[in-house]
Formats: sequence, structure tokens, C-alpha cells
Amino acid sequence: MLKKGLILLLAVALLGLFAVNTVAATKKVEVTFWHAMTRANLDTLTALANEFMADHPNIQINLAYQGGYGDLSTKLLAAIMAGNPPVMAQMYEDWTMKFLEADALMPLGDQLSPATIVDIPQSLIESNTYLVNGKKALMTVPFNKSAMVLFYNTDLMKQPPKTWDELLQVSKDLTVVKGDTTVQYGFGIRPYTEFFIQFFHQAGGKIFNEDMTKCLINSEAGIQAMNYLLQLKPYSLYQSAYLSDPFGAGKVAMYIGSSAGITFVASASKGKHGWMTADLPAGSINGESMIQGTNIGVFKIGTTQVQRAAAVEFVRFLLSQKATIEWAEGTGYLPVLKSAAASDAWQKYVATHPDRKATTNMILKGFVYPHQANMYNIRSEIETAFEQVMLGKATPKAALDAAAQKIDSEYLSH
Amino acid sequence: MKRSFAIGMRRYRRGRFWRDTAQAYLYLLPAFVILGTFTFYPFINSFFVSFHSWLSFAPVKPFVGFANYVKIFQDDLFWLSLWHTVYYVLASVIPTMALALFIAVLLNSKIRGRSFFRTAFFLPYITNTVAAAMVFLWIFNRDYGLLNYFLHHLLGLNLIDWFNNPHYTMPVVILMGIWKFIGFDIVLFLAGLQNIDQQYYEAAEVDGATGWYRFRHITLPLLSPTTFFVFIISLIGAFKIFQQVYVLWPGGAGGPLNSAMTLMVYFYHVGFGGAWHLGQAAAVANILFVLIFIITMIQMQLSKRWVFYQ
Repeated sequence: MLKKGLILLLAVALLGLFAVNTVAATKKVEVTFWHAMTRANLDTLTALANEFMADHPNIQINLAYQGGYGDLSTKLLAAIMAGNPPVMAQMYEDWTMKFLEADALMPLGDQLSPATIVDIPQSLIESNTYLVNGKKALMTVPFNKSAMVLFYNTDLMKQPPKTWDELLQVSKDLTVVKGDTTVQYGFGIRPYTEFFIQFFHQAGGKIFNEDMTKCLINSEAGIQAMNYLLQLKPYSLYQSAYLSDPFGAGKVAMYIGSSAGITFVASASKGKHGWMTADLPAGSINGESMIQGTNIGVFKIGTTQVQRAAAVEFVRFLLSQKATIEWAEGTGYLPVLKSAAASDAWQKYVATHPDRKATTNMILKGFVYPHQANMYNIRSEIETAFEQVMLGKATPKAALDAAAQKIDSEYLSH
Repeated sequence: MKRSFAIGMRRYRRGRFWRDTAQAYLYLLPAFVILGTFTFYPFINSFFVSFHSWLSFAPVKPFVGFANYVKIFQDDLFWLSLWHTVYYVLASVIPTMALALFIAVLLNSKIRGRSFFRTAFFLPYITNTVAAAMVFLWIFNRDYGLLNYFLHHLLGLNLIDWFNNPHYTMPVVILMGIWKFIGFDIVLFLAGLQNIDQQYYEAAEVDGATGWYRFRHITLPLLSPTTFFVFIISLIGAFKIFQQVYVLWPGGAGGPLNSAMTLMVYFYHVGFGGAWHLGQAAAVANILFVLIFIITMIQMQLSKRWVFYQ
């Protein structure tokens, strides 16, 4: 009798185990998401993924950190060549263009509701829309977006400069020289391409002509931007390392940089001086701010229909008002929906975090790089020209002419 | 009877021979599979890739002959990075070796705390380059760095902007290279020094040879196989300098105005930085290979004149 009962019990237990196993095997869809997020950014992303999984018990989001963006791009390159990319990943626009060459991505535009698409700021729609088989399609969605803002030391100035002229004047006024050393710089210049492009754009510059066959970096706007930066140079700390540290140390009174650096500025300035962000000082043509950061794409090669559907579900979740606000609060990136930026929840957050006011303003005043598959090389050429001018090796005209010529012949001709 | 025995013996030997050979190859197989997969195949394949227009995902990768090589040779940045690499090799390998030999000789004498110094000198070699670079970023920091503190505040020299002034970028890389690799050279030299038979020194002493003579006529010649080995290894390592530059100027940017762009950084720039032109990158890698190969061959030839094996 006892024996019989034991056998029955065992059988039931086995059956139960089997049932649980099959349920798990058939129901959980694994979605691997390759990203480059660390620290607070990763914590927030993990929290969002957990929230999503709580609502979607049949989906497992596997966040896989791949190193910095350089590593991420190299790994994606190798994975796609091997026909085995993750289901979804962060990606910059010029990588996306390469992935499209391999026909590796599924379009996301027709997976989103029209209401969501209309809610995404125009500049971000532009940067996620690609020409595929002669038709424009929204292939990716914006993810970790930051805008250029002005960081300023509130102990040194009450009002931040509003125009280029004011920026130059304040930089002059706040530069302190003792003996032969500059103990405090009014401004900071970091010689990377986007820093120059920010000024170039505000002077009315366009990097390429309409049909992307000619580089216009040596236009009047280019020379104007270079000359202006040359005027700022004597009052600026010039270094290739991030400016948040010297700003925090009180060595630099203000600088223009990506809002992604907010957390770094906060920790560098802590206990030393007050700081705030402001809208960018406007140039002669506009006061627009460069929006940078990656988008999310979903791969159609090496993935199953079910996985892609689950990934799309996660993308929809990330593009919900609640998620994008949670993301922005936790990371310092921008909310990527206009309705989210205008929502009570976000406005309430901004009221207690005034440094986010300028970044929110800049979402609607943003501009992005045009799509060009050779953007990496083109950026290098522009950066070289920028450095040459800043280091006094060439005049603005000579450096920009040389860059434009090289870009035309090497990277735009075919 | 005798004949059949001999045949039997031969058969046995043949069977044994093949069995032994098979066994030996079986033992070699794991190493061969690993080396073949990760060393030989990529090495040979890189030649194949370098003769094709291997633009990341382009569906067709046409054969282009030497076009990738021509393109590389036409690129100013290639020549600049070649020059920086040669500069680095010349300015780092010889001083590192000379200094390492000097320290090794000191450490070889019976001084107090010898094992402490030996460990101390070897530490940089096993220190993670990224971590070390972080320290160097601080030492060479223009405003707060230790080095500028000495140069500026104690010696009254101008502040040097080590990382942003193109003139000083290579010196930083070289100094870091010397600091990093000297420990490895010291250990090799020490091993070489300890291999020298004490009898020679005793005999020299009897003949009244002084320290310098003993060093010049006993130590140096008998150390020459070690010196040669260290030289070849350092040279090859120096030609492949990458990590330091990559970490000091993040993202493979190669420093201000590409002033610290070396061949390997250039290779990364062409292949993986974002252009993803793998055909051209393979060409760069092969050019570097041929360069190192030729220089090593020349070294081998020249070594016959100055390397003495005991």
C-alpha cells in the first residue's frame, strides 16, 4: 500500500516537472539586447527591462553589455557577418547604414502606432528614417539621446550668456591670469568634430549639399564658426579630455558639451561650486542644439519571427511615455516623446531638477547629422581641420578647403 | 629463415614507426587545431582579404589585386603612422634595453633587497595597460600632474600640455613604453647574466681585469644571445604598439592631429574605427608583417657578427 502510494507520488511529481519544463520551454521567448550602457544608465535599463518582463511573463530580455560603442560596433559587425546578430541592439546612424547594406534590419515604422510616430520629435524621426529600396522607412527608434547644452558655474555668473557675442565677452571677463599661468579659463574647447559642427550649424552651415554629392564645410558658415572659435581660444582651456573635470575643479567657468555629461559634472562640482545648464548661446542664424546618441534596431537575420515580435513589444514599451520619462530621470538622457517632455510628470521632475530644463528645451530645437555611410571618415577629416586651425597650423579657409576637397574626392564620389 | 626475420623486423619497425608517428600527431593535434584556427588560418586569410574590396557588408567582394595596398600607400596618414612607429621603435627599444641591462647588472650583484627590486621592476609589465594609462594621464596632466609640478614649480619651466600639444604626444607614449616594458627586459637579462659561468670572472680577476673590462669583454659577449633575443622580441613588440595610444587618446583617435597615430592604431582606424574597410585593414596588417619580417631577417644576418653562443 505504502509502495503503491510512493510510486504514484513519484509519477505525479515527474509529470509535474515535465509539465513545468515544457511550459517554460514553449512560453519564454528570449530577446538578447546588446548595449553599451554602464552604471546609472545600466541600472535604469535593467529596471525598465524588469518592469517590462513583469508585464510580459513569456518574454525574457537578456541585456548584454558589449563594452564601449567602439566595441559594440565591432562585435555587431562580426556577428552580422556570421549571420548571428542579437535580436536587438543600440546603434548609431552610420552603423545602421552598413547594417542596411547587409539587409539585416527589420523596419520598425509599421510596428508603431501613428500616434507614437507623430509624438517623436522631427529631428529624431529624420535620423531614424532611411532610404531602403528607394523608399523612406523608419528603421530604428531613438533611444539614449542627449543634446548639447551650456554648463556654467553659478558662483561666477548669475545669468548665462545668450548669444555668441555675450559668450565671448563673459569668457573674456572670467579668464583670470596670474603671473604667467591662467588660473581660471572663461570657456573650454574640446577638439572633436561635434563641437565644431555645433557652432557651424548655428552659423547656418550645412555639411553637405542637397543630394549629398558635395561637402560644404568650407562654406562661409564654416569659416565664420572657425574664426569665432579662434577668438574664444585665448580664453579657453583647450584639451581633448572631457571638460567636466576642469569645470568641476573651477578651472573652467563654462563649456558646451553633451547633456550626457550631466552626472559627471554633478559629481565633479559637488562641494566645490554651484552649476547649472542653459540653452546654448545662439549664433547668427539659430540657437539649435546637436542631438546625439544611439537608436535601437531589431535584426531580421538570425532571429525568429517570435523573437522579433517580442523585441518589437519591448521597443513599444520603451517608447511609452512612462518608460521614456523613467529612462530620462534615471540617466540624464532626453525623453524621446514630445508628449512626455510636456507631461506633468516630467515637468514636476524638472521643477526639482532645474538642470534638466535646458535639455528639455533643446529636444525641440535639435538638429542631427545627415545620413552618410562614410560619416566616420568624414568626421575624422573635419576633426583634423578643426585641430589644425586651433593649433595654429592652418588658416580656417585652408584647413576647411583641404577637408572639403578630401571628403568630396574620397568619400562622396561614389 | 634469416631473410624472413629481417622482413618481419622491418614490418614491425614500419608498423611501430607509423604507430608512433600517429601517436605523436595525436598529441600535437590539440595545439595544431587551436593554432590553425586562431593563428594560421587568419594569417593566410588576411592575405586573401587584402586582395579584395572587403567593404564590411557589401554582398559582392570583388578581387581588386593590389588596389588596397596602393590605396594605403597613397594615404598620408599611413606614412605619418609609419614614421611614428619607427620613431617609437628607435626611441624606446634601445633606451629600454640599455637601462634594463644596467639595472639587471646592478640587481645581479649582491645588493640588499634584491628580490624586492626585481619584483618592483617587473610590476609595470604585469600591470594592466588601461590602469597604468590612467595613472599616466594624471602624471602628465597639464594643470595637476606630478611631472609638470616638478618641471614648472620646482624648475621654473613652462607648463607642458603633454596630451594636447602634438610635439609631446610621442614622448609620452615612449616614456610609458619604457616604464612598461623595462621589467620584462630586466628579467631576461638577469637570467642571461646568471647563466654566465663565474669561472670567467675569476680568471679575469686573476689577470687583473677591472670592472669595466670584465663587463665589456666577458659579460657583453657572453650575454649576446640574450641581448639578441631581447632585441628581436622588443622590436616586434614595439612595431605593434597600440594599447597605450588607444587608451591615452580614447577611441583610436591617435592623439591631436594624429600625432601619436602608430601603424596598429592606423590599422584599427581603417578596419574597425567605423570605416570598416577590412580589405584595406588587412593590407595594413600585411605591410606591417612584411616590414617586421624583413627587419628580423636583417637582424638574423647581422647577428652572426655579434652574437656569441657559448
